[in-house]
Amino acid sequence: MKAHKKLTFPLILTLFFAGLLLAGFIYALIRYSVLASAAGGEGVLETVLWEVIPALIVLVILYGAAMVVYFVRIRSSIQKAAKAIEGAVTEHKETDLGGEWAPVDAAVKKFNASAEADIRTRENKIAYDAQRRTEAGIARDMVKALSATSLPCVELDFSGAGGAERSPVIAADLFDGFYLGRRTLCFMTADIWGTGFAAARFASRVKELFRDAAHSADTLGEAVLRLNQELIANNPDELALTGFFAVFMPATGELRYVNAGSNPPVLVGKERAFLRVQPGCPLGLYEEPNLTEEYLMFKPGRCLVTYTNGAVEARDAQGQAFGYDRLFAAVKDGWDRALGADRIVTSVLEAVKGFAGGKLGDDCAVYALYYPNGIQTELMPKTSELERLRDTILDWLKDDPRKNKIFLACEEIFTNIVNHSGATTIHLNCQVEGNSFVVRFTDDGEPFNPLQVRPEGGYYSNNYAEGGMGMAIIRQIAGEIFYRTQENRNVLTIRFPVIKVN
Amino acid sequence: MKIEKTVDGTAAMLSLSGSLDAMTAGELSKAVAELGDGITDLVLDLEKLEYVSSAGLRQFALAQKRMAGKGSFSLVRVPAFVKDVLTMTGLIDHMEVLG
Repeated sequence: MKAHKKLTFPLILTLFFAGLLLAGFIYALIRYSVLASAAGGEGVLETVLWEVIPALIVLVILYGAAMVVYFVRIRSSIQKAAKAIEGAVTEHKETDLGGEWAPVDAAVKKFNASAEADIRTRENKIAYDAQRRTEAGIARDMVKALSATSLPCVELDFSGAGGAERSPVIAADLFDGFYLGRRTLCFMTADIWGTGFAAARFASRVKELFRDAAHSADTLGEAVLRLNQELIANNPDELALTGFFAVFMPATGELRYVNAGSNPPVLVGKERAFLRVQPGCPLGLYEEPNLTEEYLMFKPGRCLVTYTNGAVEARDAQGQAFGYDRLFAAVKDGWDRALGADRIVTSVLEAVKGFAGGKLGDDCAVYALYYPNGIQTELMPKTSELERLRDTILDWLKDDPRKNKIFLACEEIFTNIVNHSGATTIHLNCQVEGNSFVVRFTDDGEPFNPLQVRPEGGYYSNNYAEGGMGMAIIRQIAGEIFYRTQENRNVLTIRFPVIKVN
Repeated sequence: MKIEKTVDGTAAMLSLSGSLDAMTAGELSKAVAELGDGITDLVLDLEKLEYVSSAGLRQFALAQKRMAGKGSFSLVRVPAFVKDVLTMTGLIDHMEVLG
């Protein structure tokens, strides 16, 4: 650091001394000229020198004395004080100089106090930030764990899956799906009224409490009421939620549901509609909430998607909302791929995220119930999966006398895909359409049209490794075969005339 | 699938039961290979074979090729389902099918 050039005491004294010298010299000159003009030249210089020299001697003595006093007394005192202040600052203690330095003691004391206060403020801020970050981290982990412990429920004839897209605010939107006994699916989505750690903790309680209530209550309505009671009885953060709760029983085709202030779920399949729901009221607020258990005969050939506000309220860069039209379109897109609940959820979440440019202002949780017209399963592209393929087809066809032939055609298709397409997954969908039994294989392998396979030199040539015989079998068993590619997937549809189907 | 083996000199009979599909075709291939080159006449008894796919037929054809020129290859007691599949592929015209 550049030192400031200031007028120090010795400099002032020297300048003062020089000023006096100059004044003495001017006085001597004037005095000489006055005396010389009055009395002539003789003895005048001597007279003037006798007047000036003693004054000069006194001046030099005073100057010297002042300098000595400064260096011996004042300067060393300043240095001592500086050292004391330095020590006081480094060791955070007060100085005790006293005397003429008492104001310095007071100033150091004041300085120390303000420095300590400053440090405390900074430390508090750092601690607060660290705590907030830790809490946010824990909340994010909790929310992640909440999603991770809600696994898709996949059956041959239906599937349920959920997913969530998170925003930076940690809104802890919740989805869950689980079995209530064999083949009965219970699912929900919930929008927690709050953010951060408290919301994440509340969401995890809601999930646990609802699972418990659903397993122990006789009806869905009772389970939701029980959840509400539990939340009211112990709600330290005074949070609440809106949600949609449902139970699907494929054995009877019944869908029972309770809406607690959530947006109406959408139905997509043959139709495109909102599920008719009573508005209900949020949970965690009232002792006796106005809730209704409703039911619907949920016929195959459609899917139901329930979602939290964040989905339809997501905004793009222009501030436009995602809205219901886009939601319906995203669900329809997932439905058209006919590949299960998880694909519908992915389709909706990707559409919402893409629309918002990856920056969501609120969490968005989605749960889809996929109930297609028929059965479906995912097969690994391994020959050993033939067993599952056989079980699936034969179980579906039950007593049909052609079941072995139909399975034979399916085996030929399946082994063709395994041997030729390099697929990583093969999706099987079987359904009755009119009076036909329709099997659809969808795989993500290289584009491969088995209809174009031609045996080299006939089926009975030496080249038996080619798929010619298989295709001959398929063509003779199947009524119709169609091949198309859809979104980089091979889709092969075989239609068999049905004699009798379960 | 189960394969029972009967050997009489240079003749052998393999009795197949169950399903001969892409998953089990390898077993027949292995059984035929294990017979060795000393076998010149091979009979496949299919009475208890409930199911066959092209992967199985391919093994029939390969076994037939193995016996070609040195002896005989025949299918006996062929059930209706298997016969249908042989017919669909045209293999029935190229194999000796006895009963």
